[in-house]
Amino acid sequence: MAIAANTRTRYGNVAMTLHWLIAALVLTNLYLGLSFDSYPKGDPSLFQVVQIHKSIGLSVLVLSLARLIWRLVNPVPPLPAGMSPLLKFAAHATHYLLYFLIIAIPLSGWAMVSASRLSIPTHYFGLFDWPNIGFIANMPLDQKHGLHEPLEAIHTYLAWSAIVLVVLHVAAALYHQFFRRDDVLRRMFPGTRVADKT
Amino acid sequence: MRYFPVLIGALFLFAAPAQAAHWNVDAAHSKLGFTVSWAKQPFTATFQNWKASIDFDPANLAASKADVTIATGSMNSGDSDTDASIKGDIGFGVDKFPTARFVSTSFTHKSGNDYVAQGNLTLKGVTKPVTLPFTLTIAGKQAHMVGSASVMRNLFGVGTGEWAKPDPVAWDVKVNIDITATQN
Repeated sequence: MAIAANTRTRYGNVAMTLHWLIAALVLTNLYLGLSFDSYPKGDPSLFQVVQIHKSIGLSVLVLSLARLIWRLVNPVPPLPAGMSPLLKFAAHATHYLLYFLIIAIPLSGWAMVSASRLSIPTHYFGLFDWPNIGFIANMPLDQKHGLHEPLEAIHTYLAWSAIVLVVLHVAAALYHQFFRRDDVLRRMFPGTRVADKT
Repeated sequence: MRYFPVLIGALFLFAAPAQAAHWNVDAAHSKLGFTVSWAKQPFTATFQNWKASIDFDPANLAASKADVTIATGSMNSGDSDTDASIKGDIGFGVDKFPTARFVSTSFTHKSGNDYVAQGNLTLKGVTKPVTLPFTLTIAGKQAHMVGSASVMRNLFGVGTGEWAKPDPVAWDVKVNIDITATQN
């Protein structure tokens, strides 16, 4: 039934897998990121949670880049014809911003880790050490450590923007499903039937 | 038996080692801290709160002793974020182990102004021998002592989890002490 590539009416297996996998990882990482402050500083379990957060974030980065490439070579199904131009603009803007965030948030996190005074290596799910961003890690110490706080602030602001956009995105999906009663949510759900109205 | 008390008194007189001069640490002109290689760069911090009781006489090293108590929570590197982690359970664990203590066991004279103190360091609940070489210059009633002890932090369990390995934070920590003291 469902195939790898997107069609005119629904998303294919690759796009759906990437969407839901990234969604699960992003939600987990937003939760973990918000939980950091509840640990006392220097608590060994905080360091473990940060390692998991870093591993998940870097996975999001890789998957998001793959997803972006997949989207560029594999056009997504168009929005339903009945949507007003304003609503279409809002939908596209939210999607582009979400793409920007799922790449920019892990990048800013990777950059702040590379500038960190603690210099704790990133153990990618305990499998191997993920390198730091070279040009940041090799900066003179004062310059490097001076970058850490601004980068941390950027990472945090971007994460809060993601929370707002995710809420908006979910609300929009539910609005399509229950108020507009169109196929927008269904076509991203594995195993659902979407009528070809074109 | 009428001489018994005198005898006892005499025993005490000879049994007790002669007192070495007591030195008062001039806190404003003294410093205690450490340096450790962290990500191949030196990381330096000082302790803001510590006290030392020192009896020292170059002519009577057997009677000399030093007892240093350090508030581990008073460490300061100038970066409060990093310090908070170091003070946490992964580092000093200051909540459970608020003080570290060095008690000398012996002093030896090497040459000129060079001495070596042997002692026991209690840090994070672990007591291990530590060697502290130092130079001492005494000018009248004032003494200036500068020393550095190599402390292997892994032996004391300072640095667990991410900091258990010698990378990024080296095991060998140089504890630097610079004391100016005066005699009454």
